[in-house]
Amino acid sequence: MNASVALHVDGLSRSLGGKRIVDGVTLTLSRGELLTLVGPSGCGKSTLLRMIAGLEPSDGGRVIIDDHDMSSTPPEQRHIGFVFQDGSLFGHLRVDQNVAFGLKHLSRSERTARVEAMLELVQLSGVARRYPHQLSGGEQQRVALARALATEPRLMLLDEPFASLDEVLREELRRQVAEVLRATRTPSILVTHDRHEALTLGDRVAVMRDGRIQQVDSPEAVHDRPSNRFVAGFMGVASFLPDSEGMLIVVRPHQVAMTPGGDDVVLSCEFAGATRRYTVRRHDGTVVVADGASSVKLATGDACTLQFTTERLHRVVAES
Amino acid sequence: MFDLRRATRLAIATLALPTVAVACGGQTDSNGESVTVYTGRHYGIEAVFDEFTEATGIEVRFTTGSDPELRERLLAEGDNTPADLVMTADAANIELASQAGLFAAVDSNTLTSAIPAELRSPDNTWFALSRRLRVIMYSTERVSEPPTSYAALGDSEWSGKLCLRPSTHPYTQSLVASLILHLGDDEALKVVESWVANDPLYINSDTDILEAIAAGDCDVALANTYYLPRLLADDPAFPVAISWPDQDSNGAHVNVSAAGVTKSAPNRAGAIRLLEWLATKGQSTFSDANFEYPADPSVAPASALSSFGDFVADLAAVRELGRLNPRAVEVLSAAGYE
Amino acid sequence: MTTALASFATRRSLPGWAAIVAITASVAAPVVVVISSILDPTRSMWSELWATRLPGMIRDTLTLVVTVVSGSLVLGAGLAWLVTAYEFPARRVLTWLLVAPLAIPGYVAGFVWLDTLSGPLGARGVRSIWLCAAALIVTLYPYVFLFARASFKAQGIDARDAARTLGVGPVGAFFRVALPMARPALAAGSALVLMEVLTDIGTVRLFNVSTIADGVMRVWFGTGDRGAAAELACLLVVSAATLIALERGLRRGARYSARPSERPHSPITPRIGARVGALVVCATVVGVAVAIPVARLAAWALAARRSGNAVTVTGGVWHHLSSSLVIVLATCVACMGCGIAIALLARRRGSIGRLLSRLASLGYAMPGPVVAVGALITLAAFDRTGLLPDGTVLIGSLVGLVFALTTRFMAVAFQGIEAGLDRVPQSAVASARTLGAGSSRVAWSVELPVARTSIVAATALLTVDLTKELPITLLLRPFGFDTLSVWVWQATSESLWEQAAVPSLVMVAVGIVAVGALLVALDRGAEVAS
Repeated sequence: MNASVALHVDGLSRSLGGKRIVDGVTLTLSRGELLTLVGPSGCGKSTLLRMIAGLEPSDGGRVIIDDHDMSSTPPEQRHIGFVFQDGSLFGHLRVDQNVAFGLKHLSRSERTARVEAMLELVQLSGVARRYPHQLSGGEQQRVALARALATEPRLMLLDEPFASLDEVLREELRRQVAEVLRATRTPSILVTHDRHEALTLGDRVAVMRDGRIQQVDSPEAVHDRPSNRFVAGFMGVASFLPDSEGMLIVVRPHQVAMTPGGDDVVLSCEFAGATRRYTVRRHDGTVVVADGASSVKLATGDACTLQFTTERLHRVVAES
Repeated sequence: MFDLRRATRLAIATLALPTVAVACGGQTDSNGESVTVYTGRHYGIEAVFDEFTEATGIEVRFTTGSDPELRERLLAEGDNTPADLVMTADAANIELASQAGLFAAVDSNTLTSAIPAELRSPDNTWFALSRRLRVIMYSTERVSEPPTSYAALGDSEWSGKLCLRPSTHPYTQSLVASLILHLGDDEALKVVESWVANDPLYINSDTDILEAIAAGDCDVALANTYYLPRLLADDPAFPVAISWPDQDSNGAHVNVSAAGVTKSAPNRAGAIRLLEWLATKGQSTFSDANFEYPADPSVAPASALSSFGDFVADLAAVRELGRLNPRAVEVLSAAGYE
Repeated sequence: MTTALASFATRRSLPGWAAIVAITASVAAPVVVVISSILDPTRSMWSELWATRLPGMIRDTLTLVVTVVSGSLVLGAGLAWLVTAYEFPARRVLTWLLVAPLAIPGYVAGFVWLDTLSGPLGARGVRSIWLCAAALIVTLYPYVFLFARASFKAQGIDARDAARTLGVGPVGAFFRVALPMARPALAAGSALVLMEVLTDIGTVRLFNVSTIADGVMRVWFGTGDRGAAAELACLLVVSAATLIALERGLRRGARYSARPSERPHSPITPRIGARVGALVVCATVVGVAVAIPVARLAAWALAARRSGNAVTVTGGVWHHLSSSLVIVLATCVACMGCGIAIALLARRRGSIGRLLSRLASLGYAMPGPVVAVGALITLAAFDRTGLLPDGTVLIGSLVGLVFALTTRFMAVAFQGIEAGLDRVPQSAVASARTLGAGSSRVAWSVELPVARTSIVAATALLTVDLTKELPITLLLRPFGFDTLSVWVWQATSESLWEQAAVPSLVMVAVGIVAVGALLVALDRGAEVAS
């Protein structure tokens, strides 16, 4: 086993009520790496995360953390950190007591120092003596992160940590959390259903569907060179054009240039700030989504011409 | 603004519902004459009431409770009381009710000739109906020479072997009141202290006291006479016997079941008829139902009592028990009696 | 106070307000009558008591309260954790049976235990404060169990999981997370246990334990001085209020009611050994707290039947059962009706509403006989006003009895109704108002339906309490209304345990049915909330 591997998941499976929620997942996480695990609701990503943590039993497969097979180790002995969707802070404890919760093994002075350091890391030193309900949602999640990091876990697991926050707060917190995780070089898996989040945060991105991992790769690769039609569609807007070999050509809106006049017809048009997004029916009947510059304005029914700006477009297998 | 009309209507309706229920079903039939009794003596009274009804056609309706609580109820009700006759299981409690002005005197030759003067109040506000004696009971298996006086229970011989009823009970209070009458406060206190010095086991039930003797938890005890025949009826070999105390001096302590007619009795005539019945024709049924001794000395006690033999009874104290009750409570408290 | 009342009672709702204030005042009157005796203290009684029994009474009361409350906490919270956190055989049936001791009146459990234990321990050994505490614990722990179970279920599994990922095992998670988070629920359950212990008379007397409540009866029956007894009773109310306020104060800023957990509660299935262990623990408690007393009572009932004196009271089982049920029904209706009216008011008008609701709840902190006498005095005063038609009096009527019982048990009704109304989201009320619903329609169509399950649960708890109730019923019952508890009293006051067995068993059966309804209602309520 490679010493640079923090986590190795091997053929992990779980069935519930006759349905395979997690279906033979194999995954590797390197030291210091942040992997985002993305997929639609109900694809099994949260269950997979909870199985890695030991919070849910598995029907088969192995979880190897730092070269130790932890498949049957109870969660409290796996030495992992976990951040829940709603923080799950302990309402009966102050912020500093929450952060100190997993530090019983330390001496009092060490504990105090660690709590202070952690709160400083998440920039919350000022609220140490408050109770969770006195904090905002974003602050609560930062406390949850500090609490999980305080135990210096071998592995950090974050289950949709930003899902319950509003848009502006989410952007800000996302940046902070990524900084903190990189600063502490904690190998992490972050589960999300938001592809933007997955692409911006992850060193690598794992895409999951119906209990199976579809592709694990760099954000660029997942976006530009999806392994199948599902990944292509899930990771960004795409148009699929059949080619002569029975494959599908994946066309992203930015890979198309538009000029007024021609054989193609504008079906609809949305203003999107810097660009306009058009749906266009091409002369051969195929439909393509394309971005055009804001300055040029075409209306529904106008004629236009589409041109692909990339020389070699990516292709995926036709069947879904 | 909040409108609570519907909620209020609901609340009023809920309060009214029981009123309707009681108006429809709470009253007894209004055609026949009836006598209403509050009774603190509630063991085996139905039989004598039934006999009375059969003989006179007067219904008896009664409610049970403890003596002090029934007294509180009578005091609160005042002139509104439905009670015609009040019965207690203790001499002090009947006298306390009398002192509280709850009774009206009854002038009846039937009663005065049936009930000895010592067993009715001087002003004829109450009349004893049966005698209940509080005596020494001992284990026939372990005690060969039982104590023969109340004071003797304080002998160190009985240390750790004595069972008593707590001071909260009127039977205990009345017994100590009789000691105060005969010995004076100081001597009575010494007697009670000598009992306490024997580290008695306090049990708040005479039946359980007798069972405790049989089980070997104590050898001697104070208990009312009628509990023993009840237990002997179940088990003729029950290993407990009576030692009649103070036979050379004042006699065994007598307590009574007694009754008085209330001051504002709705059916005073009926109440007097019931009282007279209980003192005459009903004497045997009333006393025997609970193995008590009849108040009328000419009426023979239940046959189950014959084996206990004859005894000298302390009749003189009965009318004083109510007056001395507060002092008895003080003596018990001062002696550290539980 | 008058101006304050007038200022918020607008013309339109004045009759409603007046009625509510009148209801509260009359429900609180018996207790106020008792408390008002403090104004004229009986100095001689206090100095005499202080010199003799009072220190011992206070010591015994404290010993008993501390032992029983902590014992009930350990047993109630521990068992609640077992039945919520772990899946094991017969878990549902055992959950129900673990609440069943509530159905056994203390004075029945007391004499059953006294009799059962006096064999091995002797009549002297059995009369100890520790056994008295044990007997009280096994009858009262279900109060803590019920509240703790509801709280553990509401916590969901997120908190437990969070603790485990922080390196704390399931047992540590119980002590460091689940238990502290359940603190308000544990406090509520303990408060009920506390009240029961402080006001208990039947059980402590059997075991020769001299508590303050026993002292109240001692002073009252010993000296006939009702005023002095009432003053001593006030000591109980003050101690109860102080202890409850103390706990509230210690909780400070911590908030416990976490958002309803995303992940619904689900018990985990432990290894076979642990499963058997949980089963054995629960079954043992059920055996001690339910099976032994019931078996004992059944044996007595059979013995009484054999000796042919099973029924020595007027009327049979049906007569007593129907009397009990009529009283339970009428009092439940009165308590819930008045309780709902006052609770709705308390929601709308914070401070004065709260004051009224606390006032109406006072009767629960006093021994039953004291409330009974307070009610007696209040009713007698009303009877003397001449407002009633000729010949009608409230004392000894069903109305009078229901009134007195309402005074004593209003707190039970309130506690349930308020818990239910607390679950109504403000947004639901607001949206109903914007849809044009008046305040009373909001109550009928939004608030009460949401609170329904809590109201059913409170009614079930009331039924259990009322079936067992003795001193008030004994003193104030109408002629012919001899209930099951009165029958038990008539038999036990003569130490005829065998003859008390049949009515006791019937009472327990009624209670167990009510307890079942209680559990179902509580679980439905939890589903509605989540």
